[in-house]
Amino acid sequence: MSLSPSTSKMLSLKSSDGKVLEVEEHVAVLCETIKSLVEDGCADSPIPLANVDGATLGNVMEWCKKHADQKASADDLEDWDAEFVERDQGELYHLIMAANYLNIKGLLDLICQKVADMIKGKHPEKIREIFNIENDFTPEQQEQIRKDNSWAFE
Amino acid sequence: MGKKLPRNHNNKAGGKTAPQRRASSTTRGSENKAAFSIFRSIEHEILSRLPVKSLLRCRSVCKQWRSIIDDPSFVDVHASRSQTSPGSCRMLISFSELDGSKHYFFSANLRGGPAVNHITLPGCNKGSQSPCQCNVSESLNGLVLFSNGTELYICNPSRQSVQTLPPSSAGSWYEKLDCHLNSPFSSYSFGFDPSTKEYKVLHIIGICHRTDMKLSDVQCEVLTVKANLGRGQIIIEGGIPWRRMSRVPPFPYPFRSQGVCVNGAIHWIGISGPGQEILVAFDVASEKFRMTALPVGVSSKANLTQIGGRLALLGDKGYDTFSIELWVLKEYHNTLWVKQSVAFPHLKKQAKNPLPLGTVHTGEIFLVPDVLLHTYLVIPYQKTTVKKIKITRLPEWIELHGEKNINFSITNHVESFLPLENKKTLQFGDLVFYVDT
Repeated sequence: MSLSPSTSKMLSLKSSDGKVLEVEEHVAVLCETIKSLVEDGCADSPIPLANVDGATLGNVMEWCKKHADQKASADDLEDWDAEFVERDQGELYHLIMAANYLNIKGLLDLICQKVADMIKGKHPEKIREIFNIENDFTPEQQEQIRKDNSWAFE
Repeated sequence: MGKKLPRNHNNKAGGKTAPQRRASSTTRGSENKAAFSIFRSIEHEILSRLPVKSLLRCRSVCKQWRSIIDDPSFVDVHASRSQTSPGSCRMLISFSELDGSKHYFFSANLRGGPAVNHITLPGCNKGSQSPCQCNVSESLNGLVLFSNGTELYICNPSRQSVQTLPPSSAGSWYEKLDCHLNSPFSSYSFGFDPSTKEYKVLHIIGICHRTDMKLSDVQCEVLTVKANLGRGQIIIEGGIPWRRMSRVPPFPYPFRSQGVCVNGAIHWIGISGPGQEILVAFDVASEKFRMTALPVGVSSKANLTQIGGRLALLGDKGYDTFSIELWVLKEYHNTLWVKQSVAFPHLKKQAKNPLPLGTVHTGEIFLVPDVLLHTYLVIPYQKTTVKKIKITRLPEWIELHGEKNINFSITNHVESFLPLENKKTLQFGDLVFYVDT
C-alpha cells in the first residue's frame, strides 16, 4: 500500500514517555534534526526524542507523512493543513515545541500562522486570557500605549 | 464559523495550557527554563505574522510583547515575512472624491473580502469639472508616494502615518509658464535601493510644448529618504531637501508609463522619437539613467508592470482575441525577454478594456477593469483557472460614477510596520527647518 519506494527504510523513534513509533525514513527526514542523525549514520537504534511525547510525535509524523507524499497537490495540502491545525491550544503548543525541536520549518510556519490568526482582531484583554499572560503594565502605561495608536483599538 | 472557533480555544485555554506550563516547571526545573525561552523565541515568530493593526494592539498585552514589537529589528523581520507570505499580499486601492477634495486609500486582501480604509489625504481640490491631478506611486515595501499637485507626501497606509515632504526647490519658476503653446510639466517617481535601504524621489520638471508633446528646459532633482533602522523610522537625509541633478532623462518626451521599481532602478517606457519606444531606467543608487531595448514585436500599447520582482510588459487584448501577450524580462542583465500568451476569459463587464495595472509577487497576474469596480479578476500566472474576487466595503458611489471622473490607481501592496516621523516644516525663504512634534 505504501507510496514510497520499496527500498525505503524504517526508522524507530522513541518519545519522551517511552513510546516507540516505526516511521519510513523518507517521512522522518522531513525533520531536519532526524535527517542530520541519518546522514551522520547515528540512526540505527530507536532514536530517543526526549522533548516530544508520544501523542505529539504521532501528530507530527502524520503531518510529515502527508507532506512527504509526492502525489499530494498544493491545493490538497493547503486544505489538509487547514484541518490539521484545528486543535485545542494545548495540542498546538506541544506541536510548536516539537516542530521547533525537530526543526520542521513547514510545520512551524503552519502553526505559528494558526496562532497568529487566533490573535488577529482580538483585544489585548482577550489575548491575555487566551495565552494566560499577566498584564504587567500600570494603568497609566496602558493608557499611553492606547493613546499612541488609538485608532487601532477601535 | 469564524466566531465559534476562537471561543473553543478560549474555553480550553484557561484549563489546559496554563497547568501544562506550570506542571513542566515543577517536574523539569532548568530544562523548563530552556523550553520557556524557546517559546519566547517563537513568540517573535508568531508576532511577525500579524497585521499592523493587531501589532499596535499587542503592544499593550505585556512588556515582553511590547519590547519585541518596538525593537528596531522587528520592522525588517515583519517586512520580510509579509513579502514572502502569500496571505499578506494585498492591493492598495486609492481614488479621489468626485470634487477632488479628498483622496482615499483602501487596501484589500488579494483573495477578496472587506476593504480597509486606512487614510484619507487632501486632494487636488480642482472641483468636479476639472481632471484630478492626484498621483499615487506604486507601493514600495508598503510605502507610497502621493502628490496632489501642490503637496507631496510619503505615506504608510497600514500605520495610518504620513510625512509631508519638503516642497520642490524648482516649484516656483515653471508654474509661471502656463500659456496656450506650452504648459508646465512635473512628474514624481518613487524608487528604492535594496542595497542601501534608501528611498529616493525623482522629480522631473520642464516645459511641455502642446504641439508635439516635446519637453524643453528639463531639470531633475532628487530627495533621499532613508529608513532609520535604529529608530525604525524614515528620515530625510541630513535635512537637505531636494538636490539638483546634472543628469536628465535621455529623451525630451514624457514617459508613457508610471515608474516601476525593480532591481534598485525605476523603469518607464520612454519615447525616443515619434513612434519609437525604449525602456528607460534610473538607477536609484548611482542616480544615472540607462536605456534598454524593448522586445521586438511588443504591442505599442503594452503596459509596464512587474511579476515576481521581474519587469514585464502586458500587451492589450484585441476585440476578438481571448489572450493577452505577456513579455517577462527573465534575465535582467542580459536583457532576455520571454514572450508568453495568457488566456483571458470572456466575461461581460470586466472584459471590455481590462488594464493589467498590477501583478502580484506570488506570480499571479492581476487584471483590473478600466473603471473602478468591486469585482476583480486574478489570473494565475502559468495556470489556466481564473479567480474572480469580490471586494466589499468600498463606498457604493464608486460603481455609480466609476465610468466618469474618478481618478484611481491600484497597486500591489504589503503591510509595513515602519512608522513615519511626524515632523513639522518651518520655512523662511529658501531655508527649511524640521521640528519634532
